[in-house]
Amino acid sequence: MSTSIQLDGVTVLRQGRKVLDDVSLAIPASETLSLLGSSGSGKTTLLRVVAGFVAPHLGVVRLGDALVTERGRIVLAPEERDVAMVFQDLALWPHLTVHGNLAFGLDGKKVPRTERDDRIAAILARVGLSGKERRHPGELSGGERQRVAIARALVLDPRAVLFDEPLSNLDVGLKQELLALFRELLGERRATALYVTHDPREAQALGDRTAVLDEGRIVHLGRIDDLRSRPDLPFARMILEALG
Amino acid sequence: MAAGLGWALALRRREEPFLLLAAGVVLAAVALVPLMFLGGELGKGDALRHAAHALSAPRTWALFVSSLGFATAVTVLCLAIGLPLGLLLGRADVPLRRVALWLHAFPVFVPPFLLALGWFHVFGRGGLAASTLGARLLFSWPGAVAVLALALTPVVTSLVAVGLQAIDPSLEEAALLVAGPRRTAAGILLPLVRPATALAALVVFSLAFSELGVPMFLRVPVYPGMVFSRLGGVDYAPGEAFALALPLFAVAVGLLLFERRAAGRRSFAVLGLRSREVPDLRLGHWRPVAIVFTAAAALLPVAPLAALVIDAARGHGFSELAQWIGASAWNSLFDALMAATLVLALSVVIGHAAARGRRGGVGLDALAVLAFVTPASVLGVGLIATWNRPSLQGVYGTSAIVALAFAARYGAVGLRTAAVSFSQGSEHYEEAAAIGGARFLRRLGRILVPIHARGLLAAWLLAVVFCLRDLETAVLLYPAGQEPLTVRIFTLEANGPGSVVAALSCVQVAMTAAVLAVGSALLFRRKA
Amino acid sequence: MASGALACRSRSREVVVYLSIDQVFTEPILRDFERQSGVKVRAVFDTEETKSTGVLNRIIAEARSPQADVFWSGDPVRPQLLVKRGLVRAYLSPEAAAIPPAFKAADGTWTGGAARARLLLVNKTRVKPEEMPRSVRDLADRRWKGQTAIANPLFGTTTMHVAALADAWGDDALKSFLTQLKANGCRIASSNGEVKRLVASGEVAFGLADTDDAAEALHDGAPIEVVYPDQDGMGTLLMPTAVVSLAGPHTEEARRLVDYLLSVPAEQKLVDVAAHIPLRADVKPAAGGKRASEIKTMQIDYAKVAGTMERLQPWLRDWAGL
Repeated sequence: MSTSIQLDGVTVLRQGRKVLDDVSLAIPASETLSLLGSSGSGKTTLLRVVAGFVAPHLGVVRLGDALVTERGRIVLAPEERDVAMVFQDLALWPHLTVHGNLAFGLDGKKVPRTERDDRIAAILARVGLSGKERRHPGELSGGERQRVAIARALVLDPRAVLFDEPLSNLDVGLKQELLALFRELLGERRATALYVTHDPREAQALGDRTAVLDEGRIVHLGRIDDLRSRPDLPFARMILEALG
Repeated sequence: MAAGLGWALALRRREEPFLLLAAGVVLAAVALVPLMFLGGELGKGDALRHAAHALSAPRTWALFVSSLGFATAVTVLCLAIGLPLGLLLGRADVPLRRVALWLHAFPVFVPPFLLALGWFHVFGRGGLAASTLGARLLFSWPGAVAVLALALTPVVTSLVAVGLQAIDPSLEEAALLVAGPRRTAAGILLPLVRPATALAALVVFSLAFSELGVPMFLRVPVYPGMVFSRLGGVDYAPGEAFALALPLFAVAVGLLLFERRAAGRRSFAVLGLRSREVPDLRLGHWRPVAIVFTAAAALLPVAPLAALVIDAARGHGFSELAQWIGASAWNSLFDALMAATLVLALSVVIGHAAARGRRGGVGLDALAVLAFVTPASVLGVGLIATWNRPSLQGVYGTSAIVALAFAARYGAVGLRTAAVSFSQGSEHYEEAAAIGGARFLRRLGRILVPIHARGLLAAWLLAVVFCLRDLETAVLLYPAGQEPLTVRIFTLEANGPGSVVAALSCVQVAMTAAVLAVGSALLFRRKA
Repeated sequence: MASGALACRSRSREVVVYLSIDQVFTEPILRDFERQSGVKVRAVFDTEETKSTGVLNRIIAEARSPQADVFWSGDPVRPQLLVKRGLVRAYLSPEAAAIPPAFKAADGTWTGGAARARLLLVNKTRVKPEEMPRSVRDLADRRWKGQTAIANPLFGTTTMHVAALADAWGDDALKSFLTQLKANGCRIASSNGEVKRLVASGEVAFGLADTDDAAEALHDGAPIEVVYPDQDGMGTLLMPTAVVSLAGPHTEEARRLVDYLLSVPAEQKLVDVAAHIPLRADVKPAAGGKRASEIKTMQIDYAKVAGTMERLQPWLRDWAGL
């Protein structure tokens, strides 16, 4: 069910400043693209444009063949796009249990109750959370919450998954473990994914390709190793240093 | 058929703007249309000429400036007492802080004219602490300022105390590492609660500026009295009253701009109910002084209420209660609950839109504030002009008109509280729901309302108590035979037995206390 | 209960009455009517205090769709304003026959009932017997500088009183009297009830109020002496209550209520509980009270007073600083 994501000439202005500047990007179905950039580079804004939370001042967004956003107008609202998102702060609804968090989207799609519960049980088993269905988010560890967040995104079987730096506050060990899990899950489902991060190692570990965003413009698109041939670019040098 | 389906589909796809539009239409119908009707009265006969004459008279502006001075004095006094008190009750190592805050805050929920009446029972000749000087001071400009300031200071204290508890503890701890408690309080904490202070100043100024009962009772001429005289005198001149209310609207706009400027982008991010584990600020050798200050602040506003209880008990007012109370207490509760529920419904939609900066949200918030500062008599006469029609008797001839009037007048209270609550929660909760396929109504019902249940309950509760304490709005519109308790106290006050009036006032106070107690029990209930 | 509160107003067997006579006195009379007739009375009370716009203006504001069937007014002047606006449905009650002609309209637009007099309430602890004021003019006497009180003449019965004085003395004399009052530090209270409170508590030496205020103060044991002013001059102002039939939806019930309010039992009750002065010969005065015929009263043309009242308003507003 995965689909391609395509942005053409997307420009977003905020208080007269270009947060995104004529960004064009195509992610084929089933590819995971990492979007790498420093703070304020516009990467979260780009993600929110794809999700439908932000209308760009210029440019269009397509999901598959469907035009979902055009200049200044959200054609298809976020709830109609059939994409999923894992937020930086996870945004697990604190008043709902783990099961409730996963069931919310499925209920909206009118998935029959037995099928719904089967799908929830399956995905929770896959992320190693069987038996924790009745817990509230506040009763889980940091790593468990991350797993709930990815499970909540994938249980809907979305056309694409958007990640907004979901691992930024975790220790290295947990990060590695969860990156491996993400990679497996995305691979199994052949899901299209856009993964936003400021950590080149995460980008390298997860993405088939990496886009580097700097001051609202895409300055590199391809494999991260390709940057080694461009040591003249300051951002390339910084990324390569971070990768060691 | 197809067109109908298309319309339904469009409605479903744009639930949020349609819902905001619906809420806006309701708010406009109760707050804006009545004022426009009154504006229309200006076109009748000589109204415009009279209005121009009234607005060009130096006396009008002298009174206007004097009223601004009155409201400013009340606001300054409230801030002078409320800021340090909020700090002490919110953060310092003062004993029995919560009790003191409740005692101190309670009078704000009592009709101000009852407090003035209570103070008269204390300081007036024949009062509990009668003296010539006391009586003379009470019936003077400073006396009216003091009575109203004591009644309204809790607005500042409470907002500052609660605002302090919402501050990130690490900010305070970082300051305590390099400075003492006093510098931390003055240099870090108080500036951080600036949005709370600005909102409190706005509320106090609005209430003081539109207050009619206390200044009239204590014989201080105020501008709203002038507006009122065009409606309450013999020459009924609604158009002229509207014209005279125009400078009040200008004040409302000024207040809003002031608040936005003072609070900046954090306009709504004021309150929080987060618990925190930070040790109290140590007062050191200032502690005894602080304890005396807080004790006085807690007990002083209770004095007029105590005087009413003593008066009621002395004159056997309580034994005659049954004969005089009628259904008025029930009417009060019914009207207040209906109105607060309507306010809550409006607040969820408009408060959310205002907090999220949606188009229209900020404008509707401004309209609600405008209605809040509009003199009740002006709004009331406008509501009669709008709603008293043969086809609308199901509304005008029933309690529904009181609920609508309350919603217009106190919508801002609920709306602001709800907006504060929404603005403090992460936007990601609702975005996560949206991206999970939920439309606005479902997000509202399943995610936003449950997550903000406490904030919304607080909004509802505040709306209930503001409606309960209302006199000036209800007295104009209540359906015949269904007067609320405040109106009954007020109408009986003229020549009624003093002890019965005092006893009825006690019922009013007890009823408010009971509603607050139940509401707070729900509000501060530990989560299961 | 909720449905009761929301029930529509067009229920049969009910009548809506707006009153500008104190609730404490009139509510028992309305209850008596309910018991006798089986008609439910729904009432809106006024207080003459300045904080409400007054039922009179509510009647005017509601003119588009009249709610009130009956207006029971504290004076016959205010109803004239309703007559002028065409809001009155004239009704000649059979009970009106017993009322003297000076206290009713021949065309049935209003009919008078038990009356109040405008009195001087004097605090005996502050005023010696030989210094008792005798005229309303004493309110402006320099001897009592800062020690007198009247209710705000923009509202309540004081409006009518100043209009009656203007008709008796001429506008200029009235204006100069009011100017003197102000210069003399006379307190402008928000209501007659407050004048009573000020006098009873001794905050002022004496003030102008109504018969019922005096009765209430005496009942509470306040050290008060009651003076009928100007008995050796123009006379005391007498204000009969007035029953007026309005254009509300319950015509039949309204007539029954009007008949009842003008009847002997109702007037007797008002005389007994509110110390009013009886107009009907078959109603006994209250203990120690007087009949209208025993008092020297000002001669009043109520319709003219109503006109004067409207004419004086702008000047009075200036005078009151509003």
